[in-house]
Amino acid sequence: MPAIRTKNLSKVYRNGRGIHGVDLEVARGDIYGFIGPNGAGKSTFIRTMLGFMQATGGEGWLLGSPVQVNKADNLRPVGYLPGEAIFYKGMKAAEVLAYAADLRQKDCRKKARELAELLDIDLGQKVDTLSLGNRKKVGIIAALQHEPDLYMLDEPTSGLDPLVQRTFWQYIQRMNEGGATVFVSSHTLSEVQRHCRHVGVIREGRLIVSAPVEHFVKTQTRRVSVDGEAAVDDLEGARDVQRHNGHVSFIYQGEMQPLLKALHEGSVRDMTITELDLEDVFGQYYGGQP
Amino acid sequence: MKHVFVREWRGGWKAMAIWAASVGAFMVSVMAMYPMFEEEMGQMVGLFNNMGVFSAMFGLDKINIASPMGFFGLEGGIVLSIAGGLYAAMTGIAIVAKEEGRRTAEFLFGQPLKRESVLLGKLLALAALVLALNLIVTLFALLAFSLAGSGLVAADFARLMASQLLMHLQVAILCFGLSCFLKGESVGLGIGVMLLLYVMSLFINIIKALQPLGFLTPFYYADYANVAGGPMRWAEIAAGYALALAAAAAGVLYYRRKDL
Repeated sequence: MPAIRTKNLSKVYRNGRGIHGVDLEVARGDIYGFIGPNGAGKSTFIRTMLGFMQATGGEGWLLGSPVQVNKADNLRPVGYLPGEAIFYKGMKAAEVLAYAADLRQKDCRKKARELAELLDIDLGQKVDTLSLGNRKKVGIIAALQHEPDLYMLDEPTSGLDPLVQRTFWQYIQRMNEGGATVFVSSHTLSEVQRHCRHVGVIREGRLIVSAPVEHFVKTQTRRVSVDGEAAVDDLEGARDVQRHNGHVSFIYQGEMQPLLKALHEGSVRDMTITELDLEDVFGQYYGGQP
Repeated sequence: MKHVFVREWRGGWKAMAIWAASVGAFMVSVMAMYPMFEEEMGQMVGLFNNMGVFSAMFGLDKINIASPMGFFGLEGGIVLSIAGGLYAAMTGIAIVAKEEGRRTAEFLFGQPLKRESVLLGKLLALAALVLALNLIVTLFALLAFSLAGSGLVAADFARLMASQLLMHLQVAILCFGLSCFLKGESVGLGIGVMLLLYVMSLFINIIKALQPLGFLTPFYYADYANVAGGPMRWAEIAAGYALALAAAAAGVLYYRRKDL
């Protein structure tokens, strides 16, 4: 039984935006990255799965239970971090976390303290005086303190400094090793590439591809960067050719011999040939507009 | 449900206490002035009783404002009707919609809670706040009478304060129901609904043909002129509560499936 499964799931708003016919499966124990630019439908997908909104078509299952609006039991094993961490004015961070724990009827004080120490935040501060990053930390603790089986995290690291991001991911990896499933939306591709095992790319509400990370980065396609000049405009398999300050950069898919011949005919001072990273892949799916 | 109730109470009791103390202080100051007006009032009763539409509008033709109880019923009654009604309307219209308006709905409904249970916690907290406001104001009113050298007519006073409490609760429940349909706090709508109901009660006092509207507006049955010396208006109260509870039930049914 997958942790997340959808069959032709749609949530279409009056303006026609939303998500359209999403078929997705996330295995238990996976770390799944859901990438797409702002407005692509990432949050709509998560919020529909969590029962904030009524799907307009298709079906979904969360840890085997059918998804529907107002189904409290579905949320019991889930830790949800919204894209924007907003809390009740006037409350201290510790009070917010205690309230979240009370609503779950769980004593999470020990875990909350541990996470606060890990993320380096003073829980005695009022939430409305916190910086964006510190508010995010409170949101993360609220989502993690009850040690859920499934983490649904909407852009969890936006607003966090790199050091805290690293600490966060180390903790998530640890929870994942303990059996938890992680579903994380992001538009930070390097982060997804580094930490996720599977990736789904969503564009204008439609899931374009869902596959292991290797599927995207371990292909015969390479990025070639040349210091000097190379006549690659007419080279078959070369695309996205960019020239800047005596450098040429392009993506190449094909046999090595024609590439080496084209480079040999140019004036190459130095060069690198690397696997594509997700940034390049993302550019492919989005026509160069990540 | 319990935790939502506690959260709402904690978030609202200070504003309620300030509101109640303000209304109460006004009542005390009005009644403190009563002895100064007592003599003139006696001479002006005849005038007040014969001011036509104006007398009818505020029920001056039905009550004796020269007595402490009549004076309190008129002055204090109007202030408590409007101020308490405003508090009930503004608190009720915001209590559900503020979760979306202030964008805390993501936090609240990200927890494993049935929406009905959240709404029940909020409704009970709203009722508790309105009840507490009325209790505090009642204590101030009793203080006001003791400062004025009493003159309290216990039965009339009890009927007035009980009617006011029922009226405030009815307005709060009605606005709670409306709140479920809103995407953000619409305090203006709450105030508008309350004022419409209040103005309706003034017109009923002037135009007798509008009497059936007394079943719609709680300000009619809570008017001191309509409860002084007589029984409470149970028929109007029952009709008003049926309407308010229907609005609340419709709101809850809608909210159960609402896109948040």
